[in-house]
Amino acid sequence: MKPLKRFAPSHYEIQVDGHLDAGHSVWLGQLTLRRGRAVTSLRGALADQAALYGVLSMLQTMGVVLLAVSRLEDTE
Amino acid sequence: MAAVLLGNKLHPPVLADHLIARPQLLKLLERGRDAKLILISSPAGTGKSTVLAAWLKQQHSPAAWLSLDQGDDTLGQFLLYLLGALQTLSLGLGDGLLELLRQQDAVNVEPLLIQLSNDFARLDRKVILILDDYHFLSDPKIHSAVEFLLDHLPSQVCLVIATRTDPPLSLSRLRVRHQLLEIRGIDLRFDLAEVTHFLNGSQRLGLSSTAIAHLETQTEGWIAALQLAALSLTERPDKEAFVETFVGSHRYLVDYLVDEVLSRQPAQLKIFLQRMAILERFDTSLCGAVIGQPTDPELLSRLEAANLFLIPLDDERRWYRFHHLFGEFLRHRLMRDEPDLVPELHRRASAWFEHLGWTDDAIRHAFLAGDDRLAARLANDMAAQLAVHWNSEQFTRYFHRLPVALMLLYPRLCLYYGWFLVTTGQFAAFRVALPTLGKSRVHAVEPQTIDAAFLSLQAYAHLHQLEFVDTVLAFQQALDLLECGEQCSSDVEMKLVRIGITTTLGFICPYFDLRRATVLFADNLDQSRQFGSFIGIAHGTVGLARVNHQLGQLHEAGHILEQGLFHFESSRSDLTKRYGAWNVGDLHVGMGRLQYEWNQLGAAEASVRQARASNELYGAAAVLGDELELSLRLALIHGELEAATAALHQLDRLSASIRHHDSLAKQLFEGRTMASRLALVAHLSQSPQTPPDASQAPALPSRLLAEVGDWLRSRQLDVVGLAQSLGGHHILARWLLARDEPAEAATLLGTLITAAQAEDRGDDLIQFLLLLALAFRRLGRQEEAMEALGRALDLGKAEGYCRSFLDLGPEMHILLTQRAETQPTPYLTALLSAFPESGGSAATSEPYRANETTSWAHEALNARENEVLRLLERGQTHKQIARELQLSPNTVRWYMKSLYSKLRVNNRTEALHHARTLKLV
Repeated sequence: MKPLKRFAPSHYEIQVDGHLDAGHSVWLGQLTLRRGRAVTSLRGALADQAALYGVLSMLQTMGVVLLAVSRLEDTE
Repeated sequence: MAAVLLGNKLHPPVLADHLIARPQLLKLLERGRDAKLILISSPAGTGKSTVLAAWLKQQHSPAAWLSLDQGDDTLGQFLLYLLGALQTLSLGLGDGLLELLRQQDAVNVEPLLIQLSNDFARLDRKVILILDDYHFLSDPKIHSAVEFLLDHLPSQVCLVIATRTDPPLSLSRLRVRHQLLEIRGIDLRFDLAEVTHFLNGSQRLGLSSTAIAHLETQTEGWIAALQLAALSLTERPDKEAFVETFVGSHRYLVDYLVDEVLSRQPAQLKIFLQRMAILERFDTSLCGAVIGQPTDPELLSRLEAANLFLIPLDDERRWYRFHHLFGEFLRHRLMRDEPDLVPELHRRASAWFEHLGWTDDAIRHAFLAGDDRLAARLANDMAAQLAVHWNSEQFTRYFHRLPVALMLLYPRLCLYYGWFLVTTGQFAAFRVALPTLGKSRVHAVEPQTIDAAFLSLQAYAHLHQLEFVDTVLAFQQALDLLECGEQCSSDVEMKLVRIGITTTLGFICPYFDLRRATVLFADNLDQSRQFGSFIGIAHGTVGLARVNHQLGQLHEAGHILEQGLFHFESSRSDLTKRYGAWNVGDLHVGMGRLQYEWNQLGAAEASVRQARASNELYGAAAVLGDELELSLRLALIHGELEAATAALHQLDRLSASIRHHDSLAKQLFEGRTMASRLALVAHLSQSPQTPPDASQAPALPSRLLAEVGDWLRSRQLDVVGLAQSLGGHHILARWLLARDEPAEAATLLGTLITAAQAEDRGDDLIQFLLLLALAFRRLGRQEEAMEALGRALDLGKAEGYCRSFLDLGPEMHILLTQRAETQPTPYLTALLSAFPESGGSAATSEPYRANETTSWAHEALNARENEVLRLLERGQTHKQIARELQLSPNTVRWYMKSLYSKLRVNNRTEALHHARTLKLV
């Protein structure tokens, strides 16, 4: 059987342009913020697609420039 | 804002007969009843609304349903529908708030939400509030409002949010506190048993277990896809083979299935479905209008029965919408197959909505049609309506999309656009747009009215930048133009413009020409009454009263305010009774200032409370400012230094919050904070006792004085432009005295007195004369001091001036005592006995009354409260009172609460006791 895509939790990395304020972490749930030179990456497990889209639309509302979204190999 | 709420948005979806029972989910939801928030977050087509509707069916608790859509993505619209949904419960939730929202912009909504949460807290049972399709909302203001509501939600409410994406609310906080029940995609997913039940049970497809397992895997138990699959499979002989084909396909599943389903429909029906997809919701009549030919009345219910993803929106099955997912795919197909037709379809929909008077929908479809010209015409028709219920959110939405060139055909629209720019502080944009907008006059029936209106807009822009001379000039030109055309016109706009001009001119005129302001306000009040403008009457009353106060005609001012208050209190509208009208707080606070001057402190306090109560929901800064300044002075009289400094702090914050482009208001507010500082300094210098913290005490007055000094320097007051100082000179004179510079003060006051006299500023004149008397006394020029004092007494006697004397403290007491030795009068005796030095105190002294005045204590209770009081006296319970007055028990409780707070008591016994002492019953 194929692994579930739509409803299963997964690890994601979302890269955004610039430095994201750590104050937003309340909104961004369990994701951890990591700041690079010009890129902030958000990593962590999200419950499902609705949670992922929720984070993405939050970032959009904040006017953040999205660079990449990738699903990480599940560590479990 | 929508004038009519669409009832079908306030209705849970009607459940289909062949529904699969999902007991585990219902049990889960049932457990969530005790949570603050139930969040159902999962993709489109996973059965969120259906499971909620099924849950509600077995619920005993009343439930309010709101289906959100893109049109609700402004705070005002959202709240309007939220309240509309709650009203369907008939539990008195948010009564009156809906009307209130229609009257004003949703700027300060927190008091409104608090009111709502108080209403919830009064319920004796649980209610469920469902916000479906929450993902359509993106305005951060809405999310903050929902967050605020969540924070203040009493246990009587269970909020349910159904959404495709996690909402930006503090979910983690709720999670930690176990106040959140989450139902996610994985919970909604149909398991193998349910899939089997659906495909072979309710759809009777008779599939093999292998095929079912394939479908379950392929769709991940996604019910929308399963429904599509079932549709494609019906009446197909090669069911198993078909399942095989799409299991192997890499095409997007729904895409594939929708194509399958549509290809199996008759061509005409397919076209019909695709074309209908431009609509958010539709009934037979709207379908007919969009298609261009009558639609069979049975068609929609037949489509629903055929499972073609039509969701009935009401029990009568009149209005439908497509399942969102299906609708999106249909729109996609329509764009692919008939792109050129799309604008025309939207135009037809727009015409249909316009015909029914649903202008907002009509404009939306005009924009969707890409027909800005049509949108401009519709916006023009709607503009007057929007202006009555001033709604800048909606204006913003329209004006951002309409090209200015298109507006030129519509002078009225141009006018509102200019108004919009000025009132939102976009002066630069206004100046740029003005020459273009003015050209619209050629399309006007009465060009001079449009010219006048634009002139007055220009005047507003000048006013906001404190260019008084230009302001008055432009206003005057506008009025002249209007007068020219007056005989031949009965135009509504012209009347509105005239009211607007006279109000504003009246508002600034006191700084130039007080007598003229009286005429303007009287005229304005007259016009507003004729026109029935609620706000106009309030403005006119407040303005006329204020001008009279400034003229030193306190009794006349009181009379005007009394009349105004009577008008609003006897108004038949329940809304007015419950919340007071827009600006009624202004009337109370104006009354409070008079009562303060008359030293009727109890009545003044009651007025402050009433002003606060009626302004609670509006949060009008001007009322709040006056109210705080008055509270501060009252607190000082009672020696409540802490309360006074707290009020000053609030006043400072308020002043800082005034937008910079509103320079006039900004300066007036700063003036208030400075005057309040000086009142505080005067109090500290007069009170003999040492404050608790002696080390810090001396620092406070000098710090306050330094702040006032800084402000005065920043104002660069010019003695020549006296009237335009907006009270700045007043503050300067008091500041000089506080710094013990009587010589400078006396010189300044001499000039001020001459000017005040020339301009009929009776109130200023008395204040300045009293200050001058103090200055002369300190300079040892006793005779001149007595002369100034004598003039003030002559002026103040008839109108019962009192606090202006008392607030000047022991020095004034000495002067008055000396005066009384040579020229005693009853007025002088009354004044002296009111001083604390004479053993008089705020609580015991009888205010001096020059002539018969009304007993203000009664003013504190309104007619309804008096009725409630009378029935309480008879020993009736609140339920009996409710019956007798034909009010709901909740409303009666509300009156009782307000009654208690006005009488400053906590229960019925105390209230009756207190009312008897006050001879109210």
